[in-house]
Amino acid sequence: MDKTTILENNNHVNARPDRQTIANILNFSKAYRHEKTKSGIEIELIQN
Amino acid sequence: MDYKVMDDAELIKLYINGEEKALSALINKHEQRIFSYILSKIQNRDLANDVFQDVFVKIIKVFRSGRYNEEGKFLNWALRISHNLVIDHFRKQKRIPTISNKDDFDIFDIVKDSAEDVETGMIREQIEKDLHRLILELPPEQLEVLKLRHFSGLSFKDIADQTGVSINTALGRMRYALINLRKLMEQHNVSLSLS
Repeated sequence: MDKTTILENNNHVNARPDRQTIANILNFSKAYRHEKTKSGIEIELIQN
Repeated sequence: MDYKVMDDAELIKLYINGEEKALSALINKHEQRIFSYILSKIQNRDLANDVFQDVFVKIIKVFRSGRYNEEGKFLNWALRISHNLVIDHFRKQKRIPTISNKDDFDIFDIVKDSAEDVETGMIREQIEKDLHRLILELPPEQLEVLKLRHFSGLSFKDIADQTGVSINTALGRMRYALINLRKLMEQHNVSLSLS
């Protein structure tokens, strides 16, 4: 009788991004500015 | 402030009002679901991290521009963005030239690349959705000819008989349907190509 057990690869289910990726996102958030002029022009800025 | 007890709408509102920690809490709450989805499609951890980062850059830009629609569920919206960026990733990847193996034996000749099937399937699915959305914007008589020709496989003679016009008119409508479809693709910045 075949007793083979098939193990499924479900590693993706509980995967989380690297901490560095999260840090990059939070740094971008702190630096990013979005402004709209009186004439309606939208400006995106990255501040140091 | 205890961010853990807050729902998505509250966290987003706080973030838009300048509370950076609310974004951190929002990411922490949904990172597993979003990243798992991206990784399951891309199958490469480094690239999945890049796409995950791009997803949140896009989300931040929408929040800050004041264009976020509070009515929708955040996670569904974030997963939709993830889906679109995964497709963009595969599209870009297909445009990058690759170096082929010059040896006689290439393992990839015999190993089936299932990731290729997934990405091609996803792009095809997106193309079908885009095409469906675009053809609905065509004038009714052009839409009818396009459907009868491409989806029902009718000849132009049969289309002419069925719609009560001459063959030349049916051909003309088809021609204008394709011209208009190209214009709509440009207007909506849609690419209906696998390459």
